[in-house]
Amino acid sequence: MENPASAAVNPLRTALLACLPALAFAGVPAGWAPNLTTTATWDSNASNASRSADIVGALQLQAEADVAQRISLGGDDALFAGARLSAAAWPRFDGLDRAALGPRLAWQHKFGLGALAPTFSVALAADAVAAHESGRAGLAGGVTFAWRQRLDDATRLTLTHERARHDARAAVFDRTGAETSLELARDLDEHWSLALAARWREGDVVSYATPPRPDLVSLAKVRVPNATFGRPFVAYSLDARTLTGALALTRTLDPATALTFGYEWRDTERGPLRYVNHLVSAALVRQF
Amino acid sequence: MTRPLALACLLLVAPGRTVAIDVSFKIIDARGQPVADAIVALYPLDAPVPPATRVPAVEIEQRDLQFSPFVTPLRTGSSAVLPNHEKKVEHHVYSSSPAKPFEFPLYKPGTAETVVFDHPGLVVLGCNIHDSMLAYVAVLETPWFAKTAADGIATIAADPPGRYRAEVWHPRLKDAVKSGLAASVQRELTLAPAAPALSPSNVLPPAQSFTLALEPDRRIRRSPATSGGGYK
Repeated sequence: MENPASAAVNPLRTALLACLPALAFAGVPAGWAPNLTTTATWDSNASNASRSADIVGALQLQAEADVAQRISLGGDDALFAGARLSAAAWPRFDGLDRAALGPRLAWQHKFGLGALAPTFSVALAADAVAAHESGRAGLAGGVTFAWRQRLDDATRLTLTHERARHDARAAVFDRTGAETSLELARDLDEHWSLALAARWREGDVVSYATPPRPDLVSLAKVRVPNATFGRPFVAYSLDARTLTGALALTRTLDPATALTFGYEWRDTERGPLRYVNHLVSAALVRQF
Repeated sequence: MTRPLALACLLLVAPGRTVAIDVSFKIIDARGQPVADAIVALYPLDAPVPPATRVPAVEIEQRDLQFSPFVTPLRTGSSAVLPNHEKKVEHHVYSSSPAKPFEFPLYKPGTAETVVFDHPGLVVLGCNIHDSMLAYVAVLETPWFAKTAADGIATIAADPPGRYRAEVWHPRLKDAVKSGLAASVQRELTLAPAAPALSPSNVLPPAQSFTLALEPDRRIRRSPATSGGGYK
């Protein structure tokens, strides 16, 4: 867990991690419609800290590769079987670096013909997670229920409910949670679209703070000393409520490529603990 | 376009018939830009519409997650073949239009169903898997029609001379889908053969010009799915 070079940027490691999912395309057969997403996100409070002295902002680079095969089950139903490989690198804090690989399986039902017919889907995910800090590695899984409805040719509404669980080697990094999300997206013109989302999550979070914090000790399920951020923090695992408001502006560069600029505001609260994250991101999505 | 031209050629050699008249149409938008994929049709006002003749089926293919062509004019009773020319992707081709409802679920690559369009009106083709796939078939009760090219020009060989109602339809006209072909811009015109000495090819100069007020293109866009975000 010790990270003496935590403040140093390791561009080679970062580049390797970011490119890892792209290598997965080498053996992908045609028809699996691989998707590659690369994202750079600035998190104003990567330490999830409530006191200003403990707040650490950081840049995260992430790459995700998805492949999926559609299997028709009659006219209205389909199965999607595939896999996802993702890698995340934090240039300043390599203790947070991680990679995950796992299968995906989803069933989708469309209620009728046409673009305005709603769809319902249930998606299962499982991942083996590797991490630079071994305590963060483990197994993760989740199920997502989604209802999608086009209101017209330019407007889409999506309601999702996700239950996810991450069992880490160190109990403090276990995360179980349920998140409900409502997203409204609208095409502004032939190239730009705007998405607004609201999310409500109940579940585990990890907040880092400089001890002593008797207020967090009384709330925390588990706590351990932690040096991920190059400071003598304690990591507290708490059950908290997180509200998120998100805005994303997407520019479609061509039918297979899109660039998304996003902003998220997250407010997390549990008793006297309250912290806010501001996340600013840019993502490039490419469908092959 | 092929069919009216062929018909025009037949008329030119048919004994006892009048000579077909080539009429050019120039379709522009409010900014003066040429409009492609507009359908121009002529309906005779002084004579009955000639009976339909058997013509080869046209092709509307599915390739690279698109229908091609985007707009197809046909005469009532004509047929179209809808081949899936994708390498791996299957489609679910359908129409909910009153003029021709049909559905081909599990439409695999290599499949090529034929549809007979036996009622006039607008038929909207879609794919129930890929919402951005869209095509229009205008089923017309006249043999005299054409589709504008990228330069906004279409030419129709009509016969006999006389009064006609010209109708121009485009997918971006106001209520073009909701009202179908009734949303067409209409104008009456009179076709008279030009004097042979002045115009041996019987082309009537200048082209009939139509200016269309087009709505913004609100087609569902084909774009990659972006991640919905969420707590990580």
